Amino acid sequence: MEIDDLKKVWTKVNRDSGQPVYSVEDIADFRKARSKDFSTWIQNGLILDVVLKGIFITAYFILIYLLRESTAFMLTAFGIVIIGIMLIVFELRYLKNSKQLDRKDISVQGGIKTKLTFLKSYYYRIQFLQGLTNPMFVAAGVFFYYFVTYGEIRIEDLEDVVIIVLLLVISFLFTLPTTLSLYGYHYRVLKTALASLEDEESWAGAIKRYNKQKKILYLVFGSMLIIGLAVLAWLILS
Amino acid sequence: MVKISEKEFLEQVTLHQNIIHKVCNMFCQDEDDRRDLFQEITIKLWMGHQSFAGQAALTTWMYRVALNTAITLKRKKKKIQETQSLHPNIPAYIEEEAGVTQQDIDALYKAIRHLGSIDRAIILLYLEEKSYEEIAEIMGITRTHVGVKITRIKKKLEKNLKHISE
Repeated sequence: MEIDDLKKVWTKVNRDSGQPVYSVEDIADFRKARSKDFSTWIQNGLILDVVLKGIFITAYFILIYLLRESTAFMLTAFGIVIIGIMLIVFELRYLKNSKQLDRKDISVQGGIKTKLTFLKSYYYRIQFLQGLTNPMFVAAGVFFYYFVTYGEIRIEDLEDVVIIVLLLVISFLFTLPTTLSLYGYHYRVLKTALASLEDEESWAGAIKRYNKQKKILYLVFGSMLIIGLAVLAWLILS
Repeated sequence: MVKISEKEFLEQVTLHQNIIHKVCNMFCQDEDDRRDLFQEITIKLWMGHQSFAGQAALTTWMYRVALNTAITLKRKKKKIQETQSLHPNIPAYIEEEAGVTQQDIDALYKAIRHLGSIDRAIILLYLEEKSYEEIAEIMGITRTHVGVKITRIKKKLEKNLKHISE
């Protein structure tokens, strides 16, 4: 098959192929489905995390009430609550910023650039904030365990401290492999696509410059030719 | 700004669903993936339908949203079996009418699928008889760049087709 036959084959295949024809009802069902896109994934992740942090903050308020006699615990718990609220504020701000990913009035290149900029600017920050939810959960669990078992927070020896710290660190790092692999995947896809678009932009620019220079050269050459002919004619005639 | 009701939106998408099918065929290898991408594009069209505002032709806008979605959507990696069809079923009479064989069609799709996502998007628009200006507008690049890209993609396709036929 010759390259010039491409359009003919393409038109024929796409006009007469047996692909499904969806009804208005089918399209309505598609419309209502849940998106699996990068931006929706980021936004849903943020919303879910804000809700989870809200639940854990409520749990800490319950713990503060239950363990109100322990000043040290109250200070720790209030500290966690304040940090939790601050993290929620940041997450809500990132959620607002993520709305730029939903812009549908931009070109393919514009869309890729927007996603890539967002990924580079916010992705790790978001993952860091979301990663902190796990230690909040673990710490709340540990405090509830102590309350139910001993009726108070009893961290007596170094071993307890080491185990708790280890649990907090592991819970924070728990989602790291997934985070890194997802970042890597999206970054690779977007960067490759953008490089493919921009790679030849420089070539296109070079061709444009070359064509412009060629036009100028023709103009200069043509003018010189006309002037030369005029001078020659004047010399001959005089 | 032109407001589009849900009913109008659904009717327009149903009417122009061929555009979405073509993008899905270009980017997906099997029926499940094609359906998933079709669904995702429909969602994205709905999410952005108010931003359409009638500033561009509806079909141009649809191509833009569909290609934006297709290029960046995370898909499961699936190994295509050699015997598996790469495109929707083609009625047998096409072979006689268009003077092309099933092998030609298979070869075309295989050659296209060896291209990168951006090249696929551009060649799709080219095969759809879109002007260089329209392709430039959809892709967000200059008209000259489109010309350079198409020339290069054609060369790549030619090479791929030769490689496949060998």
